[in-house]
Amino acid sequence: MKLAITALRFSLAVLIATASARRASAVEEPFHFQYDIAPQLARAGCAAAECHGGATGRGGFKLSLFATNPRADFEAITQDLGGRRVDYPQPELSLLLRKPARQLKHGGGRVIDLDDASYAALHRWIKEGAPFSRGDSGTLTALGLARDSQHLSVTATFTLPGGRSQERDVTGMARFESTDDRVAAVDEDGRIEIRGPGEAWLLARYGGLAARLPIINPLGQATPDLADRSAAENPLDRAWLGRLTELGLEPAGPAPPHQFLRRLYLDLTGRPPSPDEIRAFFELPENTRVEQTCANLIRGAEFTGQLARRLESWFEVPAAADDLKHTSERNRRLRSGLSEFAGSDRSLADFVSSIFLQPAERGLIQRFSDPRDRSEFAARALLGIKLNCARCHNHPLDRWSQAQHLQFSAFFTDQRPGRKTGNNSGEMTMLPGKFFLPGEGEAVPPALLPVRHTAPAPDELRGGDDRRSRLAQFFTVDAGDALARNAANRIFGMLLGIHLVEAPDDHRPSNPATHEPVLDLLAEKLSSSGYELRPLVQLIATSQLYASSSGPPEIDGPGTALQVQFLARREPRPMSGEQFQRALQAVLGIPLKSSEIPATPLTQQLHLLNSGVVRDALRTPGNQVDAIIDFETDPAQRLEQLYLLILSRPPREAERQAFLPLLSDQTDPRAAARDLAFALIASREFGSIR
Amino acid sequence: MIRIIHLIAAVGLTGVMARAQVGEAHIGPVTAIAIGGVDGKVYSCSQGGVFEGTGDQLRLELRPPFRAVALASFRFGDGDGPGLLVAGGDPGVSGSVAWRQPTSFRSHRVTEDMVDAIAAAPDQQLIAIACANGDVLVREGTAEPADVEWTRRHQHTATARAVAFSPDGKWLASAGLDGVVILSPTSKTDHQEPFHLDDHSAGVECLAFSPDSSMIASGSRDSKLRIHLVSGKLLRSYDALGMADEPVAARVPSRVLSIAWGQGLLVAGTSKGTLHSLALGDDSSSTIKRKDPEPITALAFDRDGRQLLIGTRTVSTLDSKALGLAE
Amino acid sequence: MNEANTDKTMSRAHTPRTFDRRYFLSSLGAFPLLPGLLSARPVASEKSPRALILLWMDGGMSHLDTLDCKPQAPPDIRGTLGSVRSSLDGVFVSEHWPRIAAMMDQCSLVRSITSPEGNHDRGSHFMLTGRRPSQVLTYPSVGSVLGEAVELESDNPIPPYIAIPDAHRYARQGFLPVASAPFELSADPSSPDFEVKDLNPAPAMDRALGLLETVDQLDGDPRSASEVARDHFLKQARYLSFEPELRALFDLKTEKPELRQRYGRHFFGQSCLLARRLVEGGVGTVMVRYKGWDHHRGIAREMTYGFPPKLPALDEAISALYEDLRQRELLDKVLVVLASEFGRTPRINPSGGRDHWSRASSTLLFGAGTKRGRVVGETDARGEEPIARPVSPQDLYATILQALGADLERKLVTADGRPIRIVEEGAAPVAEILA
Repeated sequence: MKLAITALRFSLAVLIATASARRASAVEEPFHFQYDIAPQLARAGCAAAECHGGATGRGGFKLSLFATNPRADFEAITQDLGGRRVDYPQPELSLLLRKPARQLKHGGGRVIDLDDASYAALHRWIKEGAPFSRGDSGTLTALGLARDSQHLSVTATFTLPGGRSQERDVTGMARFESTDDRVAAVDEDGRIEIRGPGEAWLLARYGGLAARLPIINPLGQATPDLADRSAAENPLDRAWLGRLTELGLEPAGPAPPHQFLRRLYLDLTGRPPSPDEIRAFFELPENTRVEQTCANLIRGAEFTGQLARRLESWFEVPAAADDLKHTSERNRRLRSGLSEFAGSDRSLADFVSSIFLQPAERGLIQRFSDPRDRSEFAARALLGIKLNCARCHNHPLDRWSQAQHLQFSAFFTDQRPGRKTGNNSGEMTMLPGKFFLPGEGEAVPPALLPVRHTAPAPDELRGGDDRRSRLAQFFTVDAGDALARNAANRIFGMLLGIHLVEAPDDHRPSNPATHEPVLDLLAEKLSSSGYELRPLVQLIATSQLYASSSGPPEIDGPGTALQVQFLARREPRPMSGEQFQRALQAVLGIPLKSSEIPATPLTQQLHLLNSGVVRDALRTPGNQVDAIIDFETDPAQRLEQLYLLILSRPPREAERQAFLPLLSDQTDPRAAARDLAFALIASREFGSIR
Repeated sequence: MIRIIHLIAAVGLTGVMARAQVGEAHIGPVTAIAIGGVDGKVYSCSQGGVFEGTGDQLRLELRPPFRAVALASFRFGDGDGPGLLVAGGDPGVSGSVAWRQPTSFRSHRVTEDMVDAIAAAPDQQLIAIACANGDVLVREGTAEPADVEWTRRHQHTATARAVAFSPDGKWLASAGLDGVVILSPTSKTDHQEPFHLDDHSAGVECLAFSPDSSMIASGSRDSKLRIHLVSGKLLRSYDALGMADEPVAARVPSRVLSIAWGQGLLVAGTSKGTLHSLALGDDSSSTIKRKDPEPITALAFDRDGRQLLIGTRTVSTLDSKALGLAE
Repeated sequence: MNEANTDKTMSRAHTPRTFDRRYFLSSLGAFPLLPGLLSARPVASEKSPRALILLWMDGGMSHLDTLDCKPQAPPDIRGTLGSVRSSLDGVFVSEHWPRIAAMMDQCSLVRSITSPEGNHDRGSHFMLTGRRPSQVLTYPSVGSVLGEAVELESDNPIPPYIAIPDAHRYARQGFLPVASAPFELSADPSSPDFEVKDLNPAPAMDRALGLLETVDQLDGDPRSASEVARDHFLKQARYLSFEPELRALFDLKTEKPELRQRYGRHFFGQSCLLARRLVEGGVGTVMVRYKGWDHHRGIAREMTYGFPPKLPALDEAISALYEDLRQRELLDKVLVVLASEFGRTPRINPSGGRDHWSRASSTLLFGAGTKRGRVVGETDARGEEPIARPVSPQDLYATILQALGADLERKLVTADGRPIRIVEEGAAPVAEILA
């Protein structure tokens, strides 16, 4: 026994000695969990949505999504379950290492290897006692991404205490992605693999920031030369052609004039051009006819109607047909306000201000009772940003934190005396100007959203008007660039049928525009011309980009898809049910029996074929088809006029040959003409905006 | 014969020493504190092993061949005197229980993953353990561990974090991360099924019976402490423990990690390092924010009830009077 | 939004908004010869394994007065409608359901459906799509998910998903392409002049339709995905309108009057009959939406009076449907599900009705992929809560998909390329009733 005790004491003494020696050599570099460990977890995929970053975590272990909440993650790793996940005396036995290295059963498989740098970093961290921070690492203020042939390198800029700034290479800790891995793929170490033609943006994420870099792999088609590009009068075209050259894409050339005119009228007025209007167009001098026609149409009431409809979907006001009983009056007022704005000369900036300041337009925000719904709507509609992800966690793809979302929402509280409101997440009380989370005693302090990395100091505001005018100023001045970009994108989408940034309420670093220089140009034009919408419409509608052909291409190939993707060539767009109805009414010149417009393509076709709406319209006295039959006696002229009326173009030779015999048949010429009219109206060509 | 046994025991002890790297200080959080039944000694455990003493008067008592996370004082009936039950295991691999007496040490592997908590009935007839897979197992508390089987008494659908016997020995309670506290009579002859207290909306980390065995307190991961009668009726709920300093916009919830119930004093410790003493009579509570905001992972009153033992990364003491409440 | 991927390269594919003309050109072709279509294509062929008939009681059908009766409960719980023993041990059903009571041992009953969603829209969404409503995405309903595999270039002119008379707001295609949308008949099959809206061609249209074909032919090939889709639906519309065998699917007059009588000469009865015809003809999912179950007042009267009285109507139609499918040997190919968005309050309210109650409700299933005579779960003596085997709507949804042979691991793709699982993570099909 004595022997044993002596042995014991001896071993103890030895161990104590070695332990003290080891402790003395602890490393003195500053360290912070957020910058040194959390990125490792995100990089290895531990914090992905389908792994531990998901809503309920995995296997009892929950991390924040993409490791964006370092405090919570630190607690989960070091404190959860009595700290079972880390083993301080023997770090390699920590669950945090054994499981991802697949030394123990792990649902996620083997995620790191024993010789990985991330394994070493985690091991060292645990060995040093797993601190949250040590010393002062400074704050991450910027992230830079650079390319050196096939490798990416990521540089993080930190602001140290005292104001000095320091750069660190964090390539080994960043997460990489590509926006299109058919063009370029990037592996977890930042090695690039070029795979196909086109453009991809490579992104690096670290410590809550993201940086991006475009990779262009030109296709190699014949591109416009410098002389042609500079000769383009329209600055939009200069930017666009420059991009096509960069991408190695050949512009498709202009659409045939009749097709172009039909497209222009449908986009600007909602109806095809009448035969008179077609003739008038071709009588104008060729080099100015497009400009003149556009200018005329944009000034007209029909364009106002088009713009009003676009504003309705932009500001999420339902169409009259979709109104519910209890909201129809309110929506009617909102629609009328939008329509008034559309018909006026007011600038968008002015309109945006009035959303916060004027009772009439304020309804757009006030119709939501929860301040979070309000702030999200305002961010979506005005800045094109999706904040709603940040309701539940720090936004996984953009830089908005949960705290910022809440504090921004606090800016949108009512100034009216307290009222209880119910919403799906429980009762919420609002006192004048204050916003409380369910169950909380303290109000959320309001702060503006730090757009453009500059966070204006949270304002201590009192009283209703101050806060509203601050918000008006925020959206038109502080966030003016984002407003311009968002508006330019939406106007572009209105005319082209596709936006430069899709979806239009989802601007973020990992969702770049199809053509950044084009969007920059349009945004700049908008903001420098006082945010007036009509000049921008004119700019786009008179461009070569807008006038491009929509095919079919002479020689089809893989390049066609790329041409369409990058707008070197346009694609036909389907008419919606409402558009079709409007076009039909305009073409036939008589009001249609208003019936419910079918919702699905199958029911639309059935309706077209069988409901008799077209048949009856063709039999209504005073319709334009009857007018042609009455006015023209020559079958060839009838054919010509029918085509011009309905398809906005003269018939081709093959069409003449196919249909002249029908129209020349004397048995029942009216019926024949009506049947042909029906066929043209129901045709693929009529229902498609080419 | 006895010499050989002593030698084996000694070698065993030395053998287990070889695993460790450092000496007389806790490593990592202190996960349990137990008070020796006869001698009133303070035992605590962490990744460094089982220690005796407090503050900087710590002495390494033993280092079991597994990670120790739970302790219970135990008195073996025949002869060997006061001892300790030590439970823990190798995370993700195995769970073990060890019997440690002045002259013997035995450890046994019991389950496939860690044992998170251990308790002994006041009459020492039963031992209960809470396991990582949610099982709460029970066995006879004899000196000879090898021959007796463990039977499952409660089943949680997530890790079972705490287990306790009521001071009068009538009830067995367990708590788990499924948010449920399960109570059942200790004696199997009572023909009553275990019943659940499932008011907690988040995992329950700790529990404690009142000294008179009429009430049970449970602390959970959503900052709440709830007190039920053992019949099941909810008496009180204390919310937002430890949340006073969390910013409204960006909070990380505080978890109630430890409870101790002394004569007239109920104390809870949170992951934010705050200590809360609660008086049931008038619903009052007082919060003690400590200088070092380390999570309070273990709490116990000493044998006289005069001192509160606080387990963080070390074991510190606080005079019960300083807890600030009359009763 | 959530860039879910476990791939090491962490790259996200970009879905272009263009289409591959050559791919679509090669697949354009006429539908196969229709004569003999129905006989050549039995319902459970390889292409369309099994069919679903979803009998949807819109408004929240009271479980205590239908499938989960509590005759021993006090009167203010059990209500004034009586109950009878069914052929399933321990299960009591409405006394107005004698025929259903007798056939219960051929069905599977889940009595412990429980959910926190007590609002019509949210509750319906949860049951019909297997997911709680989300701000981020509109989820597709079970009918659209099953029909999603039917691509534009398929050779089947029959719409894969049909709704009688119309589809609930959340019984639509969500983020799936519009080809998976339900085809709504917008008509009442029990009406003497029942015809599917816009299905009957207008008179004297032959020449006009011929000209339409010529115009399109002279136009050349479709030039975009939307034009290809339009061509497909036009073709489908023409076949539906003109092909006798397809039109016949919707013609109830060809059924024996006795059978029509047996189903019940009312909306629900004739819709069940039509549903049988449609699944026999190859439709993948038929949803019969029976409105008017939101009985906040006078529930006893609401369920037993009227033209027709609701409870007897269900008894007639559901037992007829079961019998009919059995006789035609379709029970292993067609799954029938009787469901609603939630149950109703156990305690009768001061207006003599019951209010919304999502904590407990019941669903009845029979047919393909399910066992006979199984009861899953149980509610307490008052029908308030499940006391055993709670089943969430997402579990039920997964069960239905699995019974129909769907692969639960499959992912759907949203318009911006995001992969979404067809069932919510953690949804566990109710194995006890799956065959």
